[in-house]
Amino acid sequence: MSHSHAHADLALAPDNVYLSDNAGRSLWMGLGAVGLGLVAVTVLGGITGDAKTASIALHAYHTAAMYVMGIPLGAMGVVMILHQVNAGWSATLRRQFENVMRLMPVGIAAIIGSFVLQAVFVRVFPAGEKAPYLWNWMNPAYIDGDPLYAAKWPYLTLWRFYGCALLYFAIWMGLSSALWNYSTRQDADGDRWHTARARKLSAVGLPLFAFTTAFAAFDWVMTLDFHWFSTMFGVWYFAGNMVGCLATTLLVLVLLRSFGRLHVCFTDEHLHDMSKLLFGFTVFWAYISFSQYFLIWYAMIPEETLFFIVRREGVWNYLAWGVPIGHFIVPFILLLPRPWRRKRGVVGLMCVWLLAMHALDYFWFIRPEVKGSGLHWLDAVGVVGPILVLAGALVRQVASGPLVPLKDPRLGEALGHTNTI
Amino acid sequence: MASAPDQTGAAALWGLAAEFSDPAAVSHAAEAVRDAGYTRWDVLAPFPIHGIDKAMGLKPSRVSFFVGFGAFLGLTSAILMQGWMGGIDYKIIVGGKPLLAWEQSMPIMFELSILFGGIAAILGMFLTNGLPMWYHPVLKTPALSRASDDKFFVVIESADPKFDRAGVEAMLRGAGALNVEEVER
Amino acid sequence: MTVFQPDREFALGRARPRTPDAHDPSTVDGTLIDDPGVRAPLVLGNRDFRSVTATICGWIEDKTPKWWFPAFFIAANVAGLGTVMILYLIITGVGVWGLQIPVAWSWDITNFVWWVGIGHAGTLISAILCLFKQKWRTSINRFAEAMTIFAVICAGTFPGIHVGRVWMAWMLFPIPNYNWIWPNFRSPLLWDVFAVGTYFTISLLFWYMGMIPDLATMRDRATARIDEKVTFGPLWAPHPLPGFIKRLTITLPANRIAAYFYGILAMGWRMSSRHWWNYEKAYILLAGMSTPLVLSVHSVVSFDFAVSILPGWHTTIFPPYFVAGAIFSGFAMVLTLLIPARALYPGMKDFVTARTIENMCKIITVTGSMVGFAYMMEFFIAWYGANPNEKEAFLIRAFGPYWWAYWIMVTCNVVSPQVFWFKWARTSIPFIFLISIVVNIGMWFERYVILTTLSHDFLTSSWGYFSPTWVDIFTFVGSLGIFTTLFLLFMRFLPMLAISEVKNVMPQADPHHPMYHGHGHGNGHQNGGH
Repeated sequence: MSHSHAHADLALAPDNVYLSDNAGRSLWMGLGAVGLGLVAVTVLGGITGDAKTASIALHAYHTAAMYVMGIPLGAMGVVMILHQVNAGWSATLRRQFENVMRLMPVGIAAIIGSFVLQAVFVRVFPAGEKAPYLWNWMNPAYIDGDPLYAAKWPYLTLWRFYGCALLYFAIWMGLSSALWNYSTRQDADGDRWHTARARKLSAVGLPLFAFTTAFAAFDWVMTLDFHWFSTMFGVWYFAGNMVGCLATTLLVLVLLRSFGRLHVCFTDEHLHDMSKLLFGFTVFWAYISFSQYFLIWYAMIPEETLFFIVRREGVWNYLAWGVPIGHFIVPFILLLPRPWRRKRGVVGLMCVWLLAMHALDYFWFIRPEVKGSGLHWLDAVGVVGPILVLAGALVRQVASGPLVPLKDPRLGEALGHTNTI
Repeated sequence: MASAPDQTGAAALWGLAAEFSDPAAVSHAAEAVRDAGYTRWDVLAPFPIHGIDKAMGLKPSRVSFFVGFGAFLGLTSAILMQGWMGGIDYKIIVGGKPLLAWEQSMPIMFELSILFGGIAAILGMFLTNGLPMWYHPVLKTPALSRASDDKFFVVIESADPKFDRAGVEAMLRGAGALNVEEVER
Repeated sequence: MTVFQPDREFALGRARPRTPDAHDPSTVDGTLIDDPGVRAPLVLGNRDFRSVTATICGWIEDKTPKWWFPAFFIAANVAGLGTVMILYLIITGVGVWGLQIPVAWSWDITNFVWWVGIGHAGTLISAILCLFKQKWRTSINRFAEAMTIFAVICAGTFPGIHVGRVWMAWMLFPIPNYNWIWPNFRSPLLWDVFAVGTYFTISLLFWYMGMIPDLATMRDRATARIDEKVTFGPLWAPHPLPGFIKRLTITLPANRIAAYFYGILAMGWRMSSRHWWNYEKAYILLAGMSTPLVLSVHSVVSFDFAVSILPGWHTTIFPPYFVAGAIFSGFAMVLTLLIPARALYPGMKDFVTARTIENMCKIITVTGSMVGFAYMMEFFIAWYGANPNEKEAFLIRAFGPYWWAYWIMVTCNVVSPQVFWFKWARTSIPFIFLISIVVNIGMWFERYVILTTLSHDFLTSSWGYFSPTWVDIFTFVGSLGIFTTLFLLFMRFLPMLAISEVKNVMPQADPHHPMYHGHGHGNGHQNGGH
């Protein structure tokens, strides 16, 4: 019956929309400490080994950095899309997307970490073609006499690279802080026009988001092998981030619900819709990834095909099969039956699974750039470390304020939300 | 076997139809009919009323099984068709492509899954609903044609084991029916 | 941590009036409301269910509107012209078209891709917007689905006739034949056959299934007046025919014919809620399957180009870029058809509100910008890829012999939809109509630009320049006629708006709406006094 009337008091009761004081304190500190510890181990493992080990550590770390950057970035996209389409059903869930979006500084720090780590490593190890660079085009020995580098030089220059990175960071920080401020200020003053302002900002923000995400993907992943190119690459990074941020947010919501929070605010109906979104974006990811791979496979032009040949050799070939199966077929089958999409246990497990697969996806794109290497123990450490730091920061962020936008004008709509079918 | 004819014309009586003015009233009446334990009854409405499945106690629709089967059939036939025709029966290298590879088979695998699944969805809808059925007592009763316009009806069939002419009418009127009509066979 | 005591009125969202201020001119018809606390009504004019039925069915049951006959006359003649062109082509051979080596694919494929693209809006509106619970789609989905089907019919014509020996077109399908050969499953052109065939079938079934309840409504209304006969004529128009023909009238049992026509098509639908339950499930499943289908169809069409190794054609962004372009042109075509219909049919403005139009404008801007994004990515990667042939292909596009087509494309597709950032543009109906046509011109040129890339062959000696012949032009014009003819017939004989779906999004359709609180059902409590 009329949920919005009967349960409105319950929905916004303090013990439903707040975690207790100091909730998760030891958890986030623990996660953060272990994560930073693992990052330290990665750095040490890289420095103490040979140049190839250092390169492995660097690429493993960079995988995680792209992952940690992508999740808040995707969440910012979702928040802007929800504002832009005047979504009502999601009003009670939007705060969790905003919490994930709020981790933008962690992502930026992780990417800057890649820059710094590379700078440190190339100074520790002797210069030359084998020097542990992430972006080989920065290595003067590597690009010496390379006609492709010569053709691309204005793009592949340090000032352009770092200048654009600064620009992306500024745009993302600006947009995410502004969106966050509109939402939290509304909590305080109840002005419903904050929602309209956020919508206006999102209209401008979305094109900016599209271009910066695409070029960030070009700069930070595609140019790892600067010979290779794909027009789809920005869309691929966007699709991956959407899966990552949806899985993260949905996991947070499921966990909050299991801690006895968000009754009425996050019902099975909301769960159902979120699962559908997650399902949809897994399919979208598969569509984009398949199209990119397929067009290159079919045309068989050497300069493009090389990228995938490297990734279908040796141990990477297992990932080439494992990632599509794990990232698409498994969630496709498990999220297809309607009853399972409405089970918190199944969906929660699926989120954890997808977050792992999402990391493997990036790993498969980034890590084989260390040519002629197999798996290394530093891979596990390097990838997990920054992700744990992100998880710790997320726990801290979620515990720090109300779990729903308390005075969102569309709260009533979200509370009464049901699915027809 | 059949309930004893207690009134004139009862043999021709197919059921009783009660008219309601709005979706809220008819949902409420449906809950009452459901709770009274009737099995052969229906709600006529110009659109799918939100939550009527719960009010009527309907079981989940079986259409999804048809779709699942159809999609699986489509996928299988696409694999077999491409495998047999392109890989076994008519081996000819074109464009340097392998005779069989999952990559090049994907588009048709996908399209045929959707094609068969989609056809199965509509066939499943017709089969689960017992349509087409161009003759039906409900269609023969002019008063009930307002169901396709703006009125809402609860129809209880005389074949229902609990059917009893006077009792049903009293219950329907008690549930707020504006009007109770007889539906002839 | 300070614990905030939330305001219950905000949670309920009922502290402010839910009915918008219709007198505020900035809301146009009362639906363009910026206030995030208020939802715009979907149906205007204080309508009840009965008036919805009466209005939408009335468009079919009333006397044929006067504009319809001349419109149909012109459209049917243009369609006839197209048919003559096709016959001429078949009788004479494809040489009557301007296509030649190196431009061996030209207007035929341009028209095919253009029409298929237009055909994407219908299923997009009925499937994707349905999954996203965009209720405003209910007033346009039938319209758009019909447009989809007719556009796909036009699209299918072109590959059918461009094979040259049309009587061999059956070899597109994997049918056992005397030559013991099978189609080449590695060819994207064969995938097209499956993709477009699937798309047409599923769109048709989706359209038909959505129409079943409305056909039942039409049947019931015709049955109620089954014995009434209708007199047609006398002919209204001034024309040089003799007086006795002008005075000629004919009386037909039109309601009986209509009752059988709609009755057979309605399959005996009797508005049963048990049926509705399975119907909704089937509908949502079809929507769920149609969504990836929409994406796949234009992706497969883009594979026709992108799997090749031709510079300018082989680029990985083609699939999503084609899909965005398809949605873009489809929405523009819906607007092109909807705006005149909205002006011509009384009461249609109550359903197709200013907000519906505005939403469509916004989708046009979004998809147009996506297309612009793709153009930019192509150019950027053409340079970044450092492949001299690729680079040259793009430079030739923009500054070569077809520069005019390229810049028409950019202006129409990327620049023109940006005007919808401004509210005056989104609310000026004639302006929207103009832009909707401009967009489709741009989308046609997009395909044309892609195909004329062929003119710049690898060897300088093989360069060429494509010019259409009069047969090319009139075949294309004829396809517009076929499309319009079919659409006019649809407007005349089938319910243009999804009656049951429109009713379903009206506030009184919700059994839990506060207006029914007096019934005392359920556990909802009274919310008076606010």
